[in-house]
Amino acid sequence: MPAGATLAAALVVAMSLPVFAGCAADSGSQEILPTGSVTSAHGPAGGPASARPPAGPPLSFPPDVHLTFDYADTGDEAKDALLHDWEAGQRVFNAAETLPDPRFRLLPRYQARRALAAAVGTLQTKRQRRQTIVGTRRFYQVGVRELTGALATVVWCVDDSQFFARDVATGKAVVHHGPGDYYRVHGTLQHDQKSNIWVLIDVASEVGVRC
Amino acid sequence: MVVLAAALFASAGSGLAVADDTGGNGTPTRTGDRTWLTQVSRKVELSGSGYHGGTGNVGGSADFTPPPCWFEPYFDSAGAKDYLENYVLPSGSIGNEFAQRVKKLLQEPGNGKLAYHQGEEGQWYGVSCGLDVPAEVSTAFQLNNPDFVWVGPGYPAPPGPTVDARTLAEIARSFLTVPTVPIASNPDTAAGTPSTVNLPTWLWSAPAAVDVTAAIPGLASTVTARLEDIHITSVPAGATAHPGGGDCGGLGAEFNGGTGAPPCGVTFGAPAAAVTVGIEAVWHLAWTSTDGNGGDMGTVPFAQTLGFTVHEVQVVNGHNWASQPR
Repeated sequence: MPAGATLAAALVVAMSLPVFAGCAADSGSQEILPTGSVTSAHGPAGGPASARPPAGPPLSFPPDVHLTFDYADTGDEAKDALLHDWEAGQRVFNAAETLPDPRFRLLPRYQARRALAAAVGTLQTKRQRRQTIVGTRRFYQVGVRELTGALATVVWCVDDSQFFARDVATGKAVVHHGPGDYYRVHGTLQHDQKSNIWVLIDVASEVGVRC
Repeated sequence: MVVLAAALFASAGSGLAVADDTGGNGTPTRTGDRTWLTQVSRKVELSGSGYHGGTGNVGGSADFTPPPCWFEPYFDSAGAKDYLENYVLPSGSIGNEFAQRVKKLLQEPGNGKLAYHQGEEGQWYGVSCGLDVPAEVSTAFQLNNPDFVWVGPGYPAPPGPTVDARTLAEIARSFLTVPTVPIASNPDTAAGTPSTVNLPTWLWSAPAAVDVTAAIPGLASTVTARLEDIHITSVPAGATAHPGGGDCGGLGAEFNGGTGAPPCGVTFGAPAAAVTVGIEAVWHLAWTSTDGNGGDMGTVPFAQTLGFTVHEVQVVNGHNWASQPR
């Protein structure tokens, strides 16, 4: 689930790249997706990280935006399904950040309630500043802290030291994009039985934490 | 003031965060205290000379406990319309119940149109809770308060605690980093001039100040850190700190040609190719706010070290020490 959202920062890259239409969430309406490339890597439980297809819906990113998911599968089917949806949500949110006008209908599929408000607030701030994102955002030390019925807590760390806002007009990176280059996020997720997706409903961040 | 909606949901943990020092590259160093930040950060604008770029994070105040839950600005009127129409109303089943409630509350009687205070000045406030707040506490707050409240100019603040000036000051403080203090010396160790055995080496620093401002619409708080004091915390064996005890009582003074003990310095007792002196730079913190509030936030010491080379000069009869080139 997307949640780097919390940290207001306006990271982002601007991309006047070609877009294509894909499937939307439950509504069936059209979805605008960014193009480009994405990297995602994590590995089997207990093993070294290895490349594997990114979780979630097909998304593509500008070539200078990279998301790295550096964590291992747990070997627990329920937890891995939860983490798979969490990762998908992160990718969806960051995909929205690459768009200069990110009305991203996939977002409510993976976020709701306060988490969605936070994510939308971040996107709005970015849009007002005419910024998108550029660089590499690394997700690491991802773990399931709690999984009880339809509620779960996932904790993860983010390294944004090489991830910046980019001014759409000038194309230049804005070095200091947010409250911290490193932070830890605590996300609460609820399972949506209808869509069979874990939805991020609340997020909070610790800033300045090198996990 | 308009109540937008009441979304009641169980959340296991949200909001306030407590973190360790950020510390930059780790120099200077500081121990204790805490740094905290919450999801309020998404709407807080941070700026100032002490925001990024420093090397030591001052951390949070030990005597400050933020409320478990509070209201903070979420959206302006246009943002609320975007949020609701483009994200909430199309949301899936988990968000759908909330979306329908919001829609119902916003519908104007008779025509069913949604009203967001479009074009009006003001902010939609929403609820945030601390990360370390028990779920039952945050849930209770959400049960007893609306999720969103419109606050126009001159309207009263939403019910319950809101992000106030002190909270903003604490947020600003948690992001404040101070630089490594440049300590000057005479003889000038930075220029490679060695100190001399049994002659005082003067130490001083120029005044320095850095600040961070945390702002939300209509309110801003600034925390300023001013370099207040230098302490000499350790000297090599056989050396003497000036004044005794090492508290310079300020930032020291530039060498004035005098022969007495300096207000801040050290006299080495033996030659050495490389010795270090421990220094503690003490920063004094204070905050001010656009609403007139403010106050003292105490001091935060940072440790650093200075390296010296010490040589011995053979005493010659009649030498005038005060005229020694420094």
